[in-house]
Amino acid sequence: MATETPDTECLDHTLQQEMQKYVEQLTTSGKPVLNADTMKKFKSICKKSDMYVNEAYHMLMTQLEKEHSEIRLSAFQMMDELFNRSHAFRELLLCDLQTFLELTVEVDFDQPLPPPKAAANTLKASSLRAIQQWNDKFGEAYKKLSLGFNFLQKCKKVDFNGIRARSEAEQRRERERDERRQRINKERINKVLKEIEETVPDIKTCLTEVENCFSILLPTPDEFFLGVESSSEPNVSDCLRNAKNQETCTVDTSNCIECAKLNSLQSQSSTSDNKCEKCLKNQSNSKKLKCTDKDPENSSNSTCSGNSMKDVTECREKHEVVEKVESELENTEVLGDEASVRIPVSSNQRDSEASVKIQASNDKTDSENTKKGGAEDPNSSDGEGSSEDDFEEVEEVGGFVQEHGLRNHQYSIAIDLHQGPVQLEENEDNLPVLTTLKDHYRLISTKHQPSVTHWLQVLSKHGGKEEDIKRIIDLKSQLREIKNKFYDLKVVPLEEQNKNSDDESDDDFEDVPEKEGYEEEVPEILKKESGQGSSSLKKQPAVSISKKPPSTTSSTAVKPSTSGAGAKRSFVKASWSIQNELLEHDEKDPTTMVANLKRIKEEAEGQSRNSSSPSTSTTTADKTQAGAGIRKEKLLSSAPVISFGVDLEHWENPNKIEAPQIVKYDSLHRFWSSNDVEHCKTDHNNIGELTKRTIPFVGKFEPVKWKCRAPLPNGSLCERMDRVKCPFHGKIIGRDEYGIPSEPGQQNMASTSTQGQLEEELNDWQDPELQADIEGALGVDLGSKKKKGKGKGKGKKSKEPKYPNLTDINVVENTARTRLEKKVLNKSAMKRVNEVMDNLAYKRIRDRFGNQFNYSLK
Amino acid sequence: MLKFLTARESGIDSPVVLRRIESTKRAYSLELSKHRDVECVFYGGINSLDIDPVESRYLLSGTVSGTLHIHDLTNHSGEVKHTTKAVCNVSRSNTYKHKHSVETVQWYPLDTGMFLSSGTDRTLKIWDTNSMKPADEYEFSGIVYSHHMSPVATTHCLVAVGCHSSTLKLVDLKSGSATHMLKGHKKSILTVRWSPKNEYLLVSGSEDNRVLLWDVRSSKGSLMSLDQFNGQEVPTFLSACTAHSGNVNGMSFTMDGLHLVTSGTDNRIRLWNIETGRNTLVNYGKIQNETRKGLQFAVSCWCKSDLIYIPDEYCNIQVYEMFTGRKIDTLRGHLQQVNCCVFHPDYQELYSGGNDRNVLIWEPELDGSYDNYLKERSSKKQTQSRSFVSRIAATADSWSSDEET
Repeated sequence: MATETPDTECLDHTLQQEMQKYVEQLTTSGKPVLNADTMKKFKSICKKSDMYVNEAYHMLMTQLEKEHSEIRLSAFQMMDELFNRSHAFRELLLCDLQTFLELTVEVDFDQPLPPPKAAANTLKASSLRAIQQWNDKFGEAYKKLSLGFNFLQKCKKVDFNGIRARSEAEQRRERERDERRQRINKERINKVLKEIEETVPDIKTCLTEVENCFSILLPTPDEFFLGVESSSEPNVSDCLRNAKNQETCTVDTSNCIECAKLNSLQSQSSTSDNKCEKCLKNQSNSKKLKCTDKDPENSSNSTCSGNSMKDVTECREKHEVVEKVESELENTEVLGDEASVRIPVSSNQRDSEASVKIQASNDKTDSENTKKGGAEDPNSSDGEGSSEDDFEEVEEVGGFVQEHGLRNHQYSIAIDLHQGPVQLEENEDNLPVLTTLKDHYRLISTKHQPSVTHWLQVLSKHGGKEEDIKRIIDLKSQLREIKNKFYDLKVVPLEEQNKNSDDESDDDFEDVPEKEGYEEEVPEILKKESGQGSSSLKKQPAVSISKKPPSTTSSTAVKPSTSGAGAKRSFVKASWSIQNELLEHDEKDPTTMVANLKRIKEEAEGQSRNSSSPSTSTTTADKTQAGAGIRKEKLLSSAPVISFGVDLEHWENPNKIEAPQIVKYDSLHRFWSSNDVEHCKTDHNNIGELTKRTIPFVGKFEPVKWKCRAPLPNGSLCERMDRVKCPFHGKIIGRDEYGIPSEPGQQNMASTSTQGQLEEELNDWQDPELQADIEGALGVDLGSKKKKGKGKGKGKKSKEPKYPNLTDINVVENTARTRLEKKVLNKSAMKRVNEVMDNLAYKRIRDRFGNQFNYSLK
Repeated sequence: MLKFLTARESGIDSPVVLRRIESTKRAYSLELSKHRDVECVFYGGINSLDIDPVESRYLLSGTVSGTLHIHDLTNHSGEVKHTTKAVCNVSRSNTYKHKHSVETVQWYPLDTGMFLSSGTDRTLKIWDTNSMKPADEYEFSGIVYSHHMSPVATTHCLVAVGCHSSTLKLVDLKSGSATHMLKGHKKSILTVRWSPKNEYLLVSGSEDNRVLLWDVRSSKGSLMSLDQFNGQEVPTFLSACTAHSGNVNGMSFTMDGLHLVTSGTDNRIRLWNIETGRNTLVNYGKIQNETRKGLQFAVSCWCKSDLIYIPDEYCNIQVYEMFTGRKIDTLRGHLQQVNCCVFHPDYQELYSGGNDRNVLIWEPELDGSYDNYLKERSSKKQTQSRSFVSRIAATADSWSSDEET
């Protein structure tokens, strides 16, 4: 940019043009403050040499003479900047101080400041303030400045002391406010810090206790939650991988995927269980499952640990240990022979125990970890010698297998692990732990977490120290983690368990005959399984296994029992019962839990009805009844509540409504009357009155909380509080603090629409070119220039599009006066008035001089 | 300067030469004084100024509000920065003050013990400086626009008074009465002047565009009427023998009394040869001058080529070379119209007063040498240095470094 050195004594033309550009940009911006960047560029040019300052002075003076206060204001602000910097500029300006004062401070009443008024006032105030500051700063050195200052002070009675005092008072107030704010902030921070110091130990202990509780309840909590996060994806991939690895398993792949899907939906079915069983069995053959289950810290075998973690989470409800009878390594053929063993476990301790066992037996088996190497060969049978990681373990557990009654290493045990939220039943053993856990949870969620959030807010808002904030953030995340843990842990309360078990017994009782009808079709495995299920129920009455109604026909037989036994904690049992009837009144209210449960149940039932084979008549009857109830409930919920009346009384038979009877007394005596007073008269019109109901619709009155806030010409904002539309400024839209619409699109909506209409109107019959021609010929302005905007060069109209930022001062204000003028001084109105007055005058003349010849002529 | 000094010492040049050279140099280079100002005791615009002819020490001023002030111009403080104090005031509360604005003030030519003032309250007051009370008071039928006492009169003690009537009155201070009435003008007289050389010669300028020369000894009327066209080619629409095409509102003799400078509302200045009564036809160009009352402008003295300092409509004082009409300078400093200016004959300084209630001192520019001298001295004398240091600091540029590109 700098093409010349400062000591060159001629102006660079390009720089000059650039300056001109900046001056124009800045002065026609129409903004109350200058653009700092442009101003900086401008100053950097001016800085080069006094010649540029001189040039700048003349440019600015030219701008200052413009008849527009916004231009003047901007020009003045630029001058102020330069004045404070350049000696040459000061000299120049003080030479023309008189002119300057006239143009900015309005010293000459013959030359008032131009419109717009708001900018003019700002200009005057700011220039007075600036002159006062200049005088304070430079008055000593520049005689004329002090002269001007004294002149303004003495002759123009400008209260500079007032200005100075005001600005000083403002500064002082500002300073005081700052100080006060800082003090308050400090106090707040100190308070919070103190609070933190006091409470953080509590929170820490609370956290530790909760951790301990968790560790009591769930020995390997980390794995659980890691497993939950990676819920179904690994399963799918594993299944797919297995499918790849083992050709025989391909038939099961689809089932596996289905199973994964179901898992992801957190719904289980026994059929999918079966499939999973199969594929997991394959898995168990192809890789080691439980190698690292014992110690969660053993993460050296990452793939294995990942698998095990997943598996542990899977063994939420049901563990099916399938013992493989065959000693062959080709495990693909053993599907039919496998024995499925269901070991229902109530707590996770048991899970882990079981997994340990399984692991042991698994290690015994020669099924090899093919997955680890990612190798393609499906079965590498030399597990004892070649498994690198688990070598010692294998050795170690050699005898252990036998202890568990397994004959040799060639057992293959398939473990079916089901996913879902971690569920924990409440019982006498863990009740105290759970109670403390709950207490702590409540404490955390109601007290600790809000207070931590509050601290964080206070600290970040009032500028606390970084390490404090960091500490609090850590604490917060810890709390959140704990909370999430608690969320993930589904605790089945004792009462509900009992209730559920009651339901179960009911269900079982009711469903037994239904089940019997299909007994023959049940495959053997499933039969066994169901048998096992019942035995497990016997063992652990408190267990609750959630089962989804089966989605495939093959498992329909299982459905009743599983659906009965598998009612989840959150599910009320699926069919109609007396208990539900007892809850009927609750169900009517859609907000109660019972009603929602019922709805869910309805859906479930609908599904089962669709999928299952024709069910018994009793259930369908129940269902229809339930459906009617639902409908009624639905209708009731939407029905309005009205008071009892005659029309309701005769709702069923509206014809029976009787009109009120009027007793007519023939006798007019007060006491004496005839016996046959029962002379009644009915007015049938009154029936309408009786049956008519007035239903008032009174909406809730909501006071208007917003204002129009459109900018007014006096600089303030419109204070009207209309609901939708301000009568002066149109539709009420969101505006910022300056009254500028927050969404620029809305800004011009109204105006553009009107403009568009105008244009259309014009375009209908006006051809601008033709009109221009006509105008040229006639020399009369027919108004075509208005539209063209650019006009013919010098006119004001050509200026407006040039500087769109400036307020248009040529616009005729739509004031009450102009509107009235338009009406009153209308040509036709004048004519009318004149006519009336003429008539009056004529009448008067006729009255007076009507008998005279020359007046009577008219 | 040194050359002239040696020449003066050796007697090559006459004593006048050095003085003339030096005063010319100074008179040409006036600028607003940086160090001196006049204490602002005024409550209105200043209409008239006068420097006492005896000592050239006291500045007399009359204001629009009817007050009179006397400032002592000498600087006895030893400080460079000096505010000339007002030594006497006829303040607003003074019972003797003029009721309305003071139009003209003048020192008694021979003594500072007495001065005269006249104004729109139709009175001419003769003041005793020591008691600050009017010694005598004359009332006239109209506004007194101007009065003047002959600076060289020895045989008479007449005050010429031009007021809002066509007759020019001569007040004899000895008898205390109006002795003469000079009739000749057709409209009110805005300005009167005595010749500085001829004690009987009086000049008056009037709203009827004419300038009349009077010999107060003569009873037959005016000596002559100055004609701007010198008797030739009179345009028909102008009456004959006019000095200006507008009101004549200011006059001033040169120090030698040979020439008269007049100004009029036709925005012209004319220079007249008093011996012949002819217009010298020097063209000064146009000077905006619309004032309806007397305008007091100054003419330098002791210069090789004298200068005219004349206020214009735009708050400035224009400086013209008298005999060539060349415009030398424009003195800017006032913020409203300048009404009067007066030239200090000894120091070649100009004092000007205007409607902005300022009396400004214009002193010769000394190409900073005086400044430097002051700076040196101030650096030695730390006590007074502060103002200068801050002044020097204030004149320095202060571009902030972040404007580097």
